[in-house]
Amino acid sequence: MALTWFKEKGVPLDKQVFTWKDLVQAPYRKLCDDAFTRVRVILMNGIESEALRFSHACARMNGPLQEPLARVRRVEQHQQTLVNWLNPPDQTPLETTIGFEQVAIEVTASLAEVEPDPYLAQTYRFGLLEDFDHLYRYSALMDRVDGKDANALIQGYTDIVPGRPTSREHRYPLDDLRRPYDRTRAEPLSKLNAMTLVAGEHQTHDYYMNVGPSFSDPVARQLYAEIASIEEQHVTQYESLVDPNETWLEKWLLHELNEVYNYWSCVESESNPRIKSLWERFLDYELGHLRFVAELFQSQEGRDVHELIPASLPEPIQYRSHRDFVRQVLRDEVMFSSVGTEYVTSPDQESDETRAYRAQMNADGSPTDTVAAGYVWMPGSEVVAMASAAGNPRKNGRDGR
Amino acid sequence: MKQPETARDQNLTGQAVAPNRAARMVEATEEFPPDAESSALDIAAVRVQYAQELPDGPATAGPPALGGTAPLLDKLGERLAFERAGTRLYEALLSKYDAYGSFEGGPSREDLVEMLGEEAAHFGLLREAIESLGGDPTELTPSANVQLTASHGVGQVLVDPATTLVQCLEAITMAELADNECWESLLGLAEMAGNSGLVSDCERALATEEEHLEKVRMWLAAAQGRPEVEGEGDVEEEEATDGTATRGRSRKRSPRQRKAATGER
Repeated sequence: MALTWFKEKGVPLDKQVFTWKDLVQAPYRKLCDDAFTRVRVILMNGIESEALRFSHACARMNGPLQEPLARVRRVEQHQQTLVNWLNPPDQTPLETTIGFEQVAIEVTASLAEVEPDPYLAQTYRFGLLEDFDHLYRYSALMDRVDGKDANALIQGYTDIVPGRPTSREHRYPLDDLRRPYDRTRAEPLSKLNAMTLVAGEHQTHDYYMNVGPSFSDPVARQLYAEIASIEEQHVTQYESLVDPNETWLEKWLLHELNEVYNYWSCVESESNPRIKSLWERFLDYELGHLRFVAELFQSQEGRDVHELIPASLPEPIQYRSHRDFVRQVLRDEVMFSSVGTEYVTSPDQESDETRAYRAQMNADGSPTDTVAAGYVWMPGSEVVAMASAAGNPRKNGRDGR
Repeated sequence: MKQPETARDQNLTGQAVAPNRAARMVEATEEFPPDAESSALDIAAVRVQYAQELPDGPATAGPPALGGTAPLLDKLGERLAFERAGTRLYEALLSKYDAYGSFEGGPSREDLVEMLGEEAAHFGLLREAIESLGGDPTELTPSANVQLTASHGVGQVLVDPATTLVQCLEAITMAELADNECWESLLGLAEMAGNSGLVSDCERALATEEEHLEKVRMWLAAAQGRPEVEGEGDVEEEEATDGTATRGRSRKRSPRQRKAATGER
């Protein structure tokens, strides 16, 4: 059912309150909740993280907006806390990382499938294959260093196979920039999709930069360093899709609309009733923010918000497996690369700058190649094959020796 | 407190929950094979390389700030850190008891309070021992650092509101096993150093830790409904007719425990 945002009252800003205990609620259950509950929690943490990041940048450039920004930002801070603290304590940073990559695959695929602008859709499919590869590399790390099966997190929704090899994803900075959409002509959905991906990828980058040094294994430390670099490329890529000519207030308004859209998408798909009620609460909060900023926008810019944002929201993000779509993109586009803002169909067409940059970065080897050398995911982990090779102690009485 | 079992309690992590999805994942590995040859051994090669290139070498015990015998102080520091952390583990166990209560054959609150006090007393004993050797009891020694890293997960399990008292007793068994092993090592080091006072302290502490381990094992046996076995070697490995061991339930006991069981000194 479509959401007509201006008909919804939401919760007024001054009624949006928390306590410290309220911020720290019982987490979702790693063993019993559906993988997409984790996916939603991770993405919404990213959406709120972007709300804070944008709000601070805006405040630094716009003195008159500092007071309203500060008021909304405090609530966003606490929303982010409550959401991020839903991640359970028995979920290790690497397990959460597997969740981050499932977000990047399934959410990007959902957006790519419905994106009306062909160039933006191409960009999403392009990024999708790179994050898809990251899931494979991190799964190999989890299996080969922690001795765990990543599918305990993935729950069979997402394939664990190589995508565009990460060692080939390294490109010269100017080959990561993209053409922005035109703010006056782009569909609202295109704007929302771009903002969602900027938020998700930025948070992924920051997460890897934070947890990377917590690993003991040198390959794990290297792996996070390499993949964090690609996430930075992805932020550069997705961020450049957003029209830089949007006014600050226009951007703020679109951010709030995107938060409404994202929480509503969570409400529409959540299987855990307790978590769903939190999504509903925050949808109401965001409707309050949207109304607050809409009034500010109309009073300061003298423009009707309805010129800018649609009365009804597009169809919600699809939190489900996009296996067939992803596989087809993999078959068709794995060899793609980019030169400047344009895509090319073969690595032969890449720029000299990208080749030189990649050769430099991979000069001592690529950790993503090292960690997954010859890796084929199998149910229960690679150790299943090792156990078979070791023989059955019941039969040979030798306990694998 | 425990919710009735519902569909929402189903464990979703295994293949059997969604066999079709699992089959499709395997199918994908056939269509999209690995892009690089070789094996997990490549990771080992990087580990070796980094170890060999460590600019400051491995983290072994250097000279303590206040002098004294480095290896002995390193190990005293290890036990001190572990007993201090152990005090906090038993506090967490008490919270678990208060939240969920005990079970038939399980610990009483007094049992846990007593064990907590004994962990704290061991910490105090070690502080004095380190000071008497001219060491600094506030120094985080390399062995202490490693043992705290190794046992980090035990604390994570104990303070998690979602774990049960029994699960926490299982986790604390790991700590008690380490404690027993390490007090015994420390005793050996004290004997080598010819420090009779420290030898006596270690013997008393080890006896207490042996009791802790026995109690925790007994509670876990009660929780699992299995008979607790008294004494070493009461359960021997059963020999099958072909002479191969088919069942190995015998618990390993330390040499000191064996001595205690046989009255040997």
